[in-house]
Amino acid sequence: MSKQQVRLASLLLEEAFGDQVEAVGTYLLKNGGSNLGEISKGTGLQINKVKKCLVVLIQHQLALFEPHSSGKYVLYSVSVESVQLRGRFPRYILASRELYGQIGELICEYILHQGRTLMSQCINRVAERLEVTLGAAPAEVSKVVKTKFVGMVEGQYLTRVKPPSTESALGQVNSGDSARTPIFGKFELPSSLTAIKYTGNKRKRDEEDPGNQPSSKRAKKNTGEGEEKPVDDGVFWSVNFDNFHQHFQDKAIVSAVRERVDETAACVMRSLLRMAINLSQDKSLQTKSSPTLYKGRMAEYLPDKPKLSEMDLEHYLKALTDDQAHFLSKEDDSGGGGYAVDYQQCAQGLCQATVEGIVRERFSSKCLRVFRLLLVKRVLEQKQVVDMAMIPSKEARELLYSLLAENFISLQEIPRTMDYAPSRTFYLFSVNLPSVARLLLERTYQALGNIVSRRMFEMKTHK
Amino acid sequence: MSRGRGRGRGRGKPFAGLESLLPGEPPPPPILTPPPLFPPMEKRPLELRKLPTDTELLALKENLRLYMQQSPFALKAGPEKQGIRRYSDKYIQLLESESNEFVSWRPDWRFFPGELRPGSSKRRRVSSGPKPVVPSSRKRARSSEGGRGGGGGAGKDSAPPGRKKVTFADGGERVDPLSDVDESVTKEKGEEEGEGEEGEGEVEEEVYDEEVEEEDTDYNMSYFDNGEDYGGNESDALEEGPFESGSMEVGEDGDMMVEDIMCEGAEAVAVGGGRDGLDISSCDEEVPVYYSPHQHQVSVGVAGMMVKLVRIVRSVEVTP
Repeated sequence: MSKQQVRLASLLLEEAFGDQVEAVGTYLLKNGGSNLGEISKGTGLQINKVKKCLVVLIQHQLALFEPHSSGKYVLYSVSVESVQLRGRFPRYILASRELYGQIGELICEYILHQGRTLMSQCINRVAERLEVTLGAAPAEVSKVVKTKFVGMVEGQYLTRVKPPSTESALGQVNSGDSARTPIFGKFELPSSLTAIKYTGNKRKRDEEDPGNQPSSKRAKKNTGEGEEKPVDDGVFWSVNFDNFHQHFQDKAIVSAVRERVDETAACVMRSLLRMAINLSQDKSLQTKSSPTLYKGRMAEYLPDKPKLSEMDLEHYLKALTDDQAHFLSKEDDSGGGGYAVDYQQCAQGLCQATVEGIVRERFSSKCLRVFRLLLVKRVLEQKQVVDMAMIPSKEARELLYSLLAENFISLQEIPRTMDYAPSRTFYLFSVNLPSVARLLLERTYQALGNIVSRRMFEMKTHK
Repeated sequence: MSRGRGRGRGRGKPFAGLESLLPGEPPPPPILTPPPLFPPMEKRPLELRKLPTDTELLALKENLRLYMQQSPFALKAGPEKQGIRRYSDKYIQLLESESNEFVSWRPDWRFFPGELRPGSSKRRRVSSGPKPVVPSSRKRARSSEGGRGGGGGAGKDSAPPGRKKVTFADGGERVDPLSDVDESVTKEKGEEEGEGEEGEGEVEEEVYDEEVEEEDTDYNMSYFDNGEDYGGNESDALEEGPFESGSMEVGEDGDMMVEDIMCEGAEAVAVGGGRDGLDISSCDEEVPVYYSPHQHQVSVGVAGMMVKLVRIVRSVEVTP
């Protein structure tokens, strides 16, 4: 949680929620878990305001709360990552469009707007919007929307929000099943699913069948009669960011393969990744490599269009395995050949390619040659660099020192004698890729913060 | 690494300045100013990537940003109150909420800690006792509040914390003593439970951003004083009168006579946070400045009920 990260997080909060929520959020970011009183004192806001800000933050899953160990008060905390993810919302929406069409995009957008929502609420709002644009009958629209929603849940792009664990009862939860069980199913659909029906616009509300429970929670119609509880009360859904991240990672791997090998290999890779997702139990992003994918079972995942024969498939698999970037690794010989997608290697390759691109743009291609040389050879002396890269000595020295100044490479001195005489010590240059990546990440946060801040400034001055 | 420590830590350039140096020349003078804020760049960065996906992403982002700014989640500071309650206030708020369907977003309180609910701190200590007990109970109230510091947010304490907030800030809501006393008794029983508890019907009725809670009467019931507290309690040095200084939350508006009575220390306490014994003394110093005898008479009305109100009002603790 660096200074730049916190700065970016506060700017994102301010952009989305205004300065009060931003003040509370920043305080929690900088000071860790605090209770209401501390927040109020630290931010200078009144308790009422702090409460509202916290509700907003919790609603959008930016803040977490838990009772203090003494049981006397509640501690609130904000995690930087969850705030930073807000910057990626457009990408999630675009990805839902790719995966689930326009309806999926609208669903995703609505849920991102609200933070978390009931299924019925979401379906209603999306169906409303679609009705306006498409002009189709409400029943059809709602059916389609519901199917898409269910599809997204099954694809694990939407997840249930965990109810807070309390000793007391969770109140009346109409759906009954998953909400009460101690093992809380993240992707379980409530049994009352079928009862959720979109009942048309408010104009048509009177004509509806009184048998159906109208599940719309219309704020406009907040009359004194009291609103009926929605059918799936208490079953909240939110976007499952991790799955989207997995999706992005897969896309990146496929495009990397496309560039390194060719289009057909990219198709093969995509089908392998799909197979891996289907087969893996634990779908976290931390897995190093996929479960072993046996060639004998790959046939069902391969696409129809580029019809690959047995031999072709074999060739491609071998090419991917032997490639320097190590996309696949051969695990097994049984079952026609068992391969595993090595996520870690892929990630490293992608990272390296990105860093190389940055070096190329920030310095020059000669610098890039030196950099790649160091990546391959790990540790080199200045003289060796000169020999291997075929660059004259003076130029090589300047390149190396410019890279050193920007912390892309590091220098280690190894003395030959007890007194550190410069003429008699080895100076070794090397590249530490993880630390370079972290550095660049920091600078990216700083750049992002600068951009957001600049935009806010421009908007203010040109109001 | 440790070998290089005195030599530049891998970041320093042992020969850096020596490139342009010729032997025999004195080294260049040290630079004493910080480097320029925007150093000139030899290479310009690449052009912005303008693929169709990028334009779509940009459009989506703009939509999202505009939506969030207009949504009820973007909390804005309340409109400036003119200092007087107007009849039209109620209707302006209704109008706004009708036009903007998002204004009355209601959180589902089961997913939030109990203390965040708007009415949750409107608890009061149902203390019994006739007036002679008043001074000591006040002291007791204050000191026990002080001792508790920031506790009790989860409502898990066996002794219900005697905290009550009289929010004079929002549109001049008054504490309706009758309704609140009834409410509080039931609430106290209800509030014993854990965080996820949602029980009281009264609390449920509160709209999240409600401004007008209880009925507004034009008659300020809390200002009637039957003179019981005046002149009879000189022995108590800490006595501050019916309205305790630190007890009110300072709202956005400056209305109400009540706040005139408060001392400056109250503002700091209201904004600042936990009350402990120290704050009381700081308030006390300033009390004489603002207090005038007649204000003792500006107090609460009907005997038993109003004494309770006095105690309640006094026992406000701003921070939970």
